[in-house]
Amino acid sequence: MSLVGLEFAFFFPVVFLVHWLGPRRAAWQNAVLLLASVAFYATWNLKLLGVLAAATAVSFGAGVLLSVLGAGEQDPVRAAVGQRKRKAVLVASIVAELGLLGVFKYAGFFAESFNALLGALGMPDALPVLRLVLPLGISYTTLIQVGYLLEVYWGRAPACRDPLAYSVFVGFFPQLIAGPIVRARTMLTQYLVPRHLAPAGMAAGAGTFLLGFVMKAFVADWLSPRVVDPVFADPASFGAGALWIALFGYATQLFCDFAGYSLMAIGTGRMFGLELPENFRYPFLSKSLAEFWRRWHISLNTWLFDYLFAPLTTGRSWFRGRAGAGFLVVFLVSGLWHGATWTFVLWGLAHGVALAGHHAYDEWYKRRCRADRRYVAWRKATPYLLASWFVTQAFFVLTLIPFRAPSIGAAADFAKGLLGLGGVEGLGQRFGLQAAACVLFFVGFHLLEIGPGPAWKARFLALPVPVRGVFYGLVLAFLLVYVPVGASTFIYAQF
Amino acid sequence: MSAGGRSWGPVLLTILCALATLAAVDAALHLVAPPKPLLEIDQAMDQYAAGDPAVLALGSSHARSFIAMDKALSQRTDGARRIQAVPVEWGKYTPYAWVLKHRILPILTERNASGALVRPSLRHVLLVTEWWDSTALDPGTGSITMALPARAWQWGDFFADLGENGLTPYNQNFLQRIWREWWSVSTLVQDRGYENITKGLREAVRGKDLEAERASYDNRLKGWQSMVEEGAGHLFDPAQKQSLEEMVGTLQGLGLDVTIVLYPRMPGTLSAKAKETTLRQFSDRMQAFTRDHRLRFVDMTFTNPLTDDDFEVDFDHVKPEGNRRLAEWALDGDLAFLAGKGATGGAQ
Repeated sequence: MSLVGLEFAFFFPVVFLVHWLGPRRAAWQNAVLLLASVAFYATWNLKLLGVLAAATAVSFGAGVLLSVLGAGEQDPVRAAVGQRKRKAVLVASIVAELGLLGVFKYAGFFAESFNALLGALGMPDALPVLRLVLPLGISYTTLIQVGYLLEVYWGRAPACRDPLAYSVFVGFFPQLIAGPIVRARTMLTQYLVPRHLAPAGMAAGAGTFLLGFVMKAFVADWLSPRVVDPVFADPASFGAGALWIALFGYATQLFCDFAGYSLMAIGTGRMFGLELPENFRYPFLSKSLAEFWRRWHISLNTWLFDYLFAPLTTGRSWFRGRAGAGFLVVFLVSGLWHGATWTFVLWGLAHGVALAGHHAYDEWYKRRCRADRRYVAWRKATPYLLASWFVTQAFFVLTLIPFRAPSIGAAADFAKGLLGLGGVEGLGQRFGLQAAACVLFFVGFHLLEIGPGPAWKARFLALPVPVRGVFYGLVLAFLLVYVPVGASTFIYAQF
Repeated sequence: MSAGGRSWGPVLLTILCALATLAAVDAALHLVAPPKPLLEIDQAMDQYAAGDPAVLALGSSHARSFIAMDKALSQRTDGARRIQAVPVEWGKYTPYAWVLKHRILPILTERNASGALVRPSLRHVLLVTEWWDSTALDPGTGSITMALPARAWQWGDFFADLGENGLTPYNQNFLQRIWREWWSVSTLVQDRGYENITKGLREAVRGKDLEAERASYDNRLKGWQSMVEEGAGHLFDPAQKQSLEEMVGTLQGLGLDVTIVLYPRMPGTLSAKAKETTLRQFSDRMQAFTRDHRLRFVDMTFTNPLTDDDFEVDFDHVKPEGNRRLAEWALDGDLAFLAGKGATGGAQ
């Protein structure tokens, strides 16, 4: 089931009514949400639900053990033993969680790569290549649980003793497919108390859901089959113009697909009285790569920086104080998290290197600023800001080539085509009025965040209620006419 | 949608205004693309249960042509004989067989407390068909995603399939149907996938683009013709043939008089190759089948009173006026027996 599919129009009202018409108790609300999440998951694959259930049971049990072992121990010897046991539980549970992800997501990739290496050395294949169905959302639920275990181990969050609340925390259906990746400190606490149906929350939820729906169902789903997919499927046939349009089209599609999904998840959460974390904050306004990654897929990047980058660069290993190397590791992991292919590794490597380079440049520039205050003024000047914005966005868009291409060879073909060394075919009728409307929406969406944009937004929200009602009605009518027919999938659901 | 605050009033007012706007837009768009309500299986079954007809016309969407024939037959027999059309949208023989077994037979064979049939009038069954119905579900793949026993399902069938297979494009057809049924008066909902609203609005703004229309017609015609020509290689898929035989066996077992009716094809769309291969072969093989099983056979593929103007833009379905002429013509000719001459049997 997808949040954007017709089936959700049947599913959501039932869950909503049962949830709010029942007793106003956390246990009831969590039970309804858990049941709904199980049903949501089961519509995809009932059998693989066991994998999620087992992983959840392991992390829940480990969390309880982490809170019990060595707790309140006064004797230093016993406390040290307790700490060692805690560490063993943490390592074992994280290995179990990551092991599941590794088997389902990476076993085939590593076996294939190893065999290819042996092949290059003239040796026969040594490992069988497994082709397993990837359990829905496993990349997200694994990070949620590993994050929880680390938080409990570090004492930053209490262990959850309520299996119902914990299960919903891991598998709440709107976040199940593609995040946001939730944290114990902000989300788990919400499941432990009863939620109340508030008009403001309901209105904000519906509005957020509608905005996400427009981004996903109108923009992303329209651009994908008409502008993006045909060109990426056969880049060698298309001319440079078509390839550039397809590349920018893909950047738009990817953003609207994923940010749209996140907004729909957040909106759905709000309608159940829950506040899921923000996942995108106008990333195409960023003027540096570091800023970009603070605005794009926020829940993944903060996870990676909190649980990988920070321990790595502040711990006792070689990485201590070496931020550049930390960036490289973080983005190689991010690349692999997105998919077990060399194109994602290349993408991650490019971003790791670029961030390390940017970090070094930034340090150098700060030194210049301290020596000469004119550097501070230059950095704030419009030409510098525009150039920074352009370089950042151009880099991100260009690295989408390996991100989207099925192989490194296809990515190279696409890149050659961008320079006019490919085919000649144009997009023809594919790039019409509706594509222009998609681009306009995408640009307008970002512009509303800068200059007079926020004031316009405020002015709209201050309009009389009936006027806004009419506006929403017109948006719905527009969507019913123009949203393409057909089942659509979310790009980030495959990661 | 920040209508919230602490009171429900603004939220409800926003929703009401949005819904009122939606309804107003919908009503206005009725002028551009009015919804065309189509007879679906649920409604057909209700009509069957209430009407106890003498004739059942089971087929794909083509069976809807027999609604006009029902009116003509009813007039000719002073209401004594009625035809119940049961259209299985996009259907082939396996979906027809499913509908026959799960939806029609329970009504047809229902008995009262004294053991007598509740609806004893059925005498004739018309299996309305064409070559496409006999091909594999999706030629080449054997899979089926767009069709459509799902359109004949009830909630129990849907949940059973959902439990077995999860949510699939196949069982999503059921939800689509229910959704369209719920919003049967809404142009905005009924037009999804047909794009008559955008076409109508475009024409209202820019006028008719005759050149583009011609190009689109030629393009569609080319695709249609090659589809029919390629059909010869896919006729009488084993699974479809088995379903056809099962249906005929079931109906004959009930003592019903079965007629295979080959539905008319739009003359201007038929290439010489299509006539000589797919259509001819299908007709010959179906005639042989009816001989072997002692069925009536009525072939309207080429022999009918219809011209190109009687067909819809999809090249496939007949317009209302064409259906009326087809009905009168058929009841004067090969289907005259439906009026009572030569009737035999009845469900037992």
